Amino acid sequence: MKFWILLRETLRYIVRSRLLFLLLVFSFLLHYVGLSFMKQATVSIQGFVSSIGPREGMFVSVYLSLFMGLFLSAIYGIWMVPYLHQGERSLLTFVLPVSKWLYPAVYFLSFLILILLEFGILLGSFTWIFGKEALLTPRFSWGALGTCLLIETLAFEFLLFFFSILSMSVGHVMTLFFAAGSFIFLQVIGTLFRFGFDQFAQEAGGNWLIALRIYSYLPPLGELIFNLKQTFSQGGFPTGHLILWSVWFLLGFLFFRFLLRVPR
Amino acid sequence: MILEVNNLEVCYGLKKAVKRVSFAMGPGESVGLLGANGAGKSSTLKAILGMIRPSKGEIRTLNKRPGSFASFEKLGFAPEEGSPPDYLTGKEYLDFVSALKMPMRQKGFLEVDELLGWFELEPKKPIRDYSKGMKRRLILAQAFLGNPELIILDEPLNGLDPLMIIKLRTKLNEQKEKGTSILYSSHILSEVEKCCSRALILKEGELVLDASLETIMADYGGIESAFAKKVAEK
Repeated sequence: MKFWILLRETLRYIVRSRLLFLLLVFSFLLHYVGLSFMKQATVSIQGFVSSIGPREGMFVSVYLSLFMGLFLSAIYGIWMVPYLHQGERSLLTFVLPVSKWLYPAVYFLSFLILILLEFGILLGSFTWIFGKEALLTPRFSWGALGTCLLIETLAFEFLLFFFSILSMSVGHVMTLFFAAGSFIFLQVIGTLFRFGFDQFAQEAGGNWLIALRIYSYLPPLGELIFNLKQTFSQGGFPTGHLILWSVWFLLGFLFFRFLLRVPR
Repeated sequence: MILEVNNLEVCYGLKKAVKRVSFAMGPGESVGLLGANGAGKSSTLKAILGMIRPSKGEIRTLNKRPGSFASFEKLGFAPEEGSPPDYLTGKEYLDFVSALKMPMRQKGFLEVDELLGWFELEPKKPIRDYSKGMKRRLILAQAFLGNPELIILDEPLNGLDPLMIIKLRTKLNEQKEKGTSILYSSHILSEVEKCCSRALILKEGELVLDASLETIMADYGGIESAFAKKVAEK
């Protein structure tokens, strides 16, 4: 019961803060305009000209939703989640008869609703541009799409708690810089590994091997784009990274819960 | 007992903000917590609410450990400086708190309307458009929700106009008659004299006086002289 009351207030906050409006407009523009351009574009490789079809279109949509999700998790995590738990407001939040477990659970579910809404816009825009036949064709891989959306959802939910924890610990501005720094760092490392850096590290051994091992346990943010690409182009299921994202998400959830001091 | 504090000590680093403070409150008792700035009033209140962990001692708030969410179902707290979520209207905020505190929703709704009227709050106005005084009244109003057994007020008169001070006093007397215990932390000694039946005076973290109002009147002639004597004496 208390869970639903908290969820209702959180959703009210999302609506009144205009985050929902921002999400709807920005996401629609991103997907619709992005896909429109894509559909009209042609690719020419060594004289072979081809137009971009629904399969590539869907990959671009999933790729665009990655940026939308990062943007959303940053806004929701840095500014909105800490709203009730910081400063003068926290004194009144602390004395609400609500279990500390409910807060992360509510933030998880409310953010999941936003993510699903974003995915809905993704599918809607795709259907609008390419027609519903594109989704119904046997060539369309629902499995690949589902895997991509699942891995994105886990990544966004982890990032939500990561941003919230940082924001509540070091403040909004520091979080932005730290988050941007981590993102660039992990992205660069992820790209380096694509060019055989992992093999180099294994051959070189020593500290390089230790660094490689540490990287392999970090949130696989740098691998995310490659996971999506691989899932779409070759199928398969990035089980290792999905498990890693799940573990990091759970850690984020638990850490957030322990960050809230009272009620106990 | 509604509240039991035994040998409470609160330290910030090496500094002891509260030193071996012990007192208890029974049902329907109204106790004034007095002290100069930095005397340890806020630290004592925070420890009672479970916002800070005591370095030593034991506290039982409504027979539960302080800070447990179950204890907040029957505890109302109005902080000195609080800020309700400003995207809500006054009524929405009170409904929200009431829904969390009161299992009987219908009763909660009636209570919300009554409190909105009592504290002269505009129900449909967003909190962000409330004046400082109105926000203060809203914070006070939420402390009365859910038929609390213990109400803790931290400097409740800050930002209130004289008429509202009188109304608050009446409201507190009403609550006392219902059996609610009130812990009233304030700088305004005359108001504590009017609202409370017992006073605690803190000085540099130590409890230097714990006496009923009758005793204080008999021994010192009033709270003001008791405070002056106890706080000034070395």
